[in-house]
Amino acid sequence: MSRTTDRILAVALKEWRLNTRFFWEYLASNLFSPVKTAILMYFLYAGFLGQSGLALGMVTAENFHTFVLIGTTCHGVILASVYIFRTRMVMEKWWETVTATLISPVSTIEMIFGFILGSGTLHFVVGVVLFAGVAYFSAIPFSAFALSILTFALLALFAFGLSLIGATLALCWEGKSFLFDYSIQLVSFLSCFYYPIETLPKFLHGFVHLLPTFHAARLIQELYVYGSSTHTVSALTYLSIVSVLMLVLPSLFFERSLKRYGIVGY
Amino acid sequence: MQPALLFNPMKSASPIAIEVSGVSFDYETPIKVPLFKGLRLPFHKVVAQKHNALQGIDLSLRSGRITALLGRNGSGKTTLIKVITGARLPKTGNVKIFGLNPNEVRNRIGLCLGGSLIYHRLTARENLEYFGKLYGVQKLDARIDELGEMLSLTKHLDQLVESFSFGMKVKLALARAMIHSPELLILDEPTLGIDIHLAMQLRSFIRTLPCTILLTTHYMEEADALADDVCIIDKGRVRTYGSKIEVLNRYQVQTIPQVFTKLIDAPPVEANA
Repeated sequence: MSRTTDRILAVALKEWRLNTRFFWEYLASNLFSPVKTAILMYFLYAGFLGQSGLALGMVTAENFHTFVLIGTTCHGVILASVYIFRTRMVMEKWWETVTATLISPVSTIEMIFGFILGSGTLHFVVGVVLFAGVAYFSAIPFSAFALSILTFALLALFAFGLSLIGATLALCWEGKSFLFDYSIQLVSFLSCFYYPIETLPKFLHGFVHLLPTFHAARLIQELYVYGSSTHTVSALTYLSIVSVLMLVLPSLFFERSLKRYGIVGY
Repeated sequence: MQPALLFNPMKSASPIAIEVSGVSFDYETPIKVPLFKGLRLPFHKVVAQKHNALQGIDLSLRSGRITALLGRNGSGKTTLIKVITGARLPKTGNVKIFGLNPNEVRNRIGLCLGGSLIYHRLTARENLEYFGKLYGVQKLDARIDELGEMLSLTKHLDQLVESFSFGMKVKLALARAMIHSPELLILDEPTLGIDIHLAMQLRSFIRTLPCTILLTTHYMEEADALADDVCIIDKGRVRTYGSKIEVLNRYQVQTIPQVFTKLIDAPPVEANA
C-alpha cells in the first residue's frame, strides 16, 4: 500500500474510533435524522395532496413518498457531511490536536478522504440502503439506480468541500462562522430537496439553477419518479466539475488560512 | 553589536539543524473594550491589537545538541516553535530545517507541547498508532511497545487517555512526538506541571535521546542540567545565544539563572517577601 493510502486509512480509522466513543449518541444524532425529517414531510404532503388532489410540480399524491424520501436522504447526508469536518476541527481545536495534524506529513486532500471514509461511509451506506429500498418499490431500472448512487456520491464530495470552508471559518474566524451557517441554510432552501422548483418564485430560479445541490437532487428525484431524466449528462458534468473544485480550492483555503491567520479562540 | 551575534555557529563542528533568518511574526490580541465609554453597561466590543511576537529572529541551531530556548511568558518561544515546525507562516524571513523548508521535512520533526496534541477519546495505543501511520513508521507495534516501555506506559497503553493523570498525558505526548524517531525533537515546556520525580525521570530520558533537541522551559535548573546550548529571547528578539559555557563566560556568571536575570528585567519582588 502506498503512503497516501496508509495515511487516508489512518485518518479514517481515527475518525471511526472517535465517532464511536459514544456509539448510540453518534448513531442517533447522525443517521436517524433523514428518516425523522422524512416522516414529518410525509405527513405534510399526505395532508396537502390527499385533501386537495392537486399536484405540486412533479410531485403528486402517488409519488410524494418517493420524492420526500429521496429529498430527505440527500439533505440529511449533505447536512451531516457539511458539518462533520467543521465539528471535528472545532473539537480538535479544543483538544489542541489540530496542530499535531497540521505539522504531520498528511495533506489536506488525504485528510478529506480519510474523513469521508471514516465519517462519511456510514452515512453513505445508509443513503444507499434507503435509495435501494425506494428503487425496489418504485421498480426503476438498475441503470437509474446506479446513476443515482453516482450522483449521490458526487453530492457528498461537494458537501465535504463545503465542510472544509466551514472548518476554516470556525478555526480562523470563529466570530464570523455564522455566515457559513446562514449560507448553508440558504443553499438548503434553494436546493429544493423537499419541494419542486415550481413552488419557488420565478426570480429565485436563476440562483437555484446555479446550485449543484439542486441539480443533484432533481436528477435523483427524476430518476426515481420517472425512471430516467433529460438532465443526466448536464447535471453529472456540472456536479463532477464543481465537486472536484470543491475538494481542491477549499483545501488550499484551509491550509493557507490556518498558517497565515492561525487558530483563533483557544 | 548584540552579544548574540558574537556567537557564530558556522565555526562549530556540528552542522546546522535549524536556520532561522530574519523571522518576524505579528498576531492580533483580542481586547474587550466598553461599547459605550464612561457607562458601566454589560456591553462590549472586541478590538484587535497588533502584537509583534517575533521581531527579526536570526538563529542557527546546531545539530545533535540540546538547545534550551528561554524567555518569560509571552516572549515568543511558542510562536517561534510554531514557525519552526511550519504550523505558522512568518510575516518576514524564512526557516530552514536540515537545509529544507519545514514542510519538506515534516516527517523528520517531532513536536511535544506539554501534555497536549493527543486525542483524549482514544487510548494511548490508538493515539500512537494513528500518528505512527501518518508518519509511515515501519514495525509500528514494536515501536509502540518500545516507547511504552521506555516511558513506563506499557500498562496504560490500552487505557482511554481521558482517564490519564497529567503526568501520564505528558509522557504519552512525548511518546507521540517520538513515534517516528525524529531527527529534530522540539519540546515545549515538557516538565511543566508535573511532579519533581517524574520531571527528573523525563530529564534523564531526554538526555539520552540521540537527536537534535530544542527545548523551552521556565525551569532554569532544567536548562542548566540538560542544555548544551542556550538561547534567551525577550519581546520577540534574541538576547543571547551560544553554548552554555560561552554564554556563562560572556556574562561572567556561574549559572544560567544569573544570565537570565542580567539580560531580562528581574522578576518583581512580592510585597511581603
